[in-house]
Amino acid sequence: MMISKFMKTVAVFGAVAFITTGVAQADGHLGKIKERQAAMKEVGAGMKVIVGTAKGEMAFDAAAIHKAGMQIKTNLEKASPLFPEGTGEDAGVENRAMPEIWLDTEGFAAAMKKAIAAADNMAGVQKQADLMPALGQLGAGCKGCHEKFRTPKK
Amino acid sequence: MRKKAALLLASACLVGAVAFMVLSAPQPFNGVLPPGYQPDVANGKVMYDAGGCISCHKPDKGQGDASLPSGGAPLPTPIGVFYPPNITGDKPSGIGDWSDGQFVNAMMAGVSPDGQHYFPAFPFTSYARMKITDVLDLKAYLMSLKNVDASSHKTTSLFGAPLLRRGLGLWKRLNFERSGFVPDKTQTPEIIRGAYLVAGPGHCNECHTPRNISMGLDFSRHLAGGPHPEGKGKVPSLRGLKERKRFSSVDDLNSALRFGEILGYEDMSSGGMGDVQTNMSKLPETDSKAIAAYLFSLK
Repeated sequence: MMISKFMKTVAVFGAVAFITTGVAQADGHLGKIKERQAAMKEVGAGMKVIVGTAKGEMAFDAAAIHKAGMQIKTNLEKASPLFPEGTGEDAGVENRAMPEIWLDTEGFAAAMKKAIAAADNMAGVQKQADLMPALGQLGAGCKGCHEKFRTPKK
Repeated sequence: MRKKAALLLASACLVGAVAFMVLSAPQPFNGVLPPGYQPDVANGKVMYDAGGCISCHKPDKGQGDASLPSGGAPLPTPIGVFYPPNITGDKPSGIGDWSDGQFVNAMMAGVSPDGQHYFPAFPFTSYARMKITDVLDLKAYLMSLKNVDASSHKTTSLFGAPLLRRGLGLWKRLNFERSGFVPDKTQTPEIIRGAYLVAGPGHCNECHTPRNISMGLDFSRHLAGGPHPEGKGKVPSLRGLKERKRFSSVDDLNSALRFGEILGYEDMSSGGMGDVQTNMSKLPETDSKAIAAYLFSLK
């Protein structure tokens, strides 16, 4: 009788602990998805400045390009570690991370690294003539990751 | 009585089987090859890039030159994994032995040299709208590439394939339109060219037009987008690009097709579009612009 009461208590505690850690982890996961999405939004905002300049909609301004390049770089660096396993499409919050991110972790890391290096290179652009080649490299970084690791829009 | 019923059942089965065999029989291409035609290899390359042949016919990772269409990379579909074949001129692993007639038959009727139906994962349903000369030019271009012996590459083996393959004849009766490309003569030559590239070699409908219950394209929702054929997510609509302000002008759309995310155009890479866009970047500017002009005109 005593034992079974003890077991019951353990079971209840265990269940509570299990559920709370589960919730906490899910919470952490959701937080990570939100954080990386916010970081990628900043990347997009940086791209707008660079693409706008490349298309001639804005005058070339080395300081603005530097700022945009750094904004892209730091936010990509921020987003990179925010893809823990379990934060894919089935994580409960809308996102477009493909299972391939965790099937090919090396490939994903390499694609991110490439994009970060391209953003760093962009931040160093001093004159108009260097903008297009740097953008080609940076845009290829976006494409390289999105075509393999991002699902189509839902 | 019982004997009579058995006899009736047996004859019904026989009639059914005969009807199946007759209705599902492969129908070869019914047009005529232009006699003495001298193919234009450069135009063949345009067709190759417009069709994006390499996207499906590429070798698997680490299986040789990824720029040559030697086949073998897996292509997942709802009915199983396909391994598209070698389309370089190698004999016998490629198509070096094929006659012009056999090639046209494959591209425009979906029938293989040994008289079998192709699964429409190979979009002959769209290529049937191509000009026969464009198809012959494409063959000449493929023959101009380096031959690759791909006898070690994987090939498709689907469960129940022989019966399924034959059954495709019925699917074709329902869903395969052989009437070719019909230009809208009220449009400009540029828009007509774009419409041809989209409907024929570009086979854009295969993903951007949704399918009906029999998996045929539903042209009442022409290029209106729908569920992604490989599973997750959606394929966007190509209608109302102007009205929805998705692109500001024909030039803007042309630049999106040529450069995609390289020029910061959002959502031009996922779901297989990255490959399509890479192939379109190789088209002559006049052709990508024709595609843009046509798509931009769709309300």
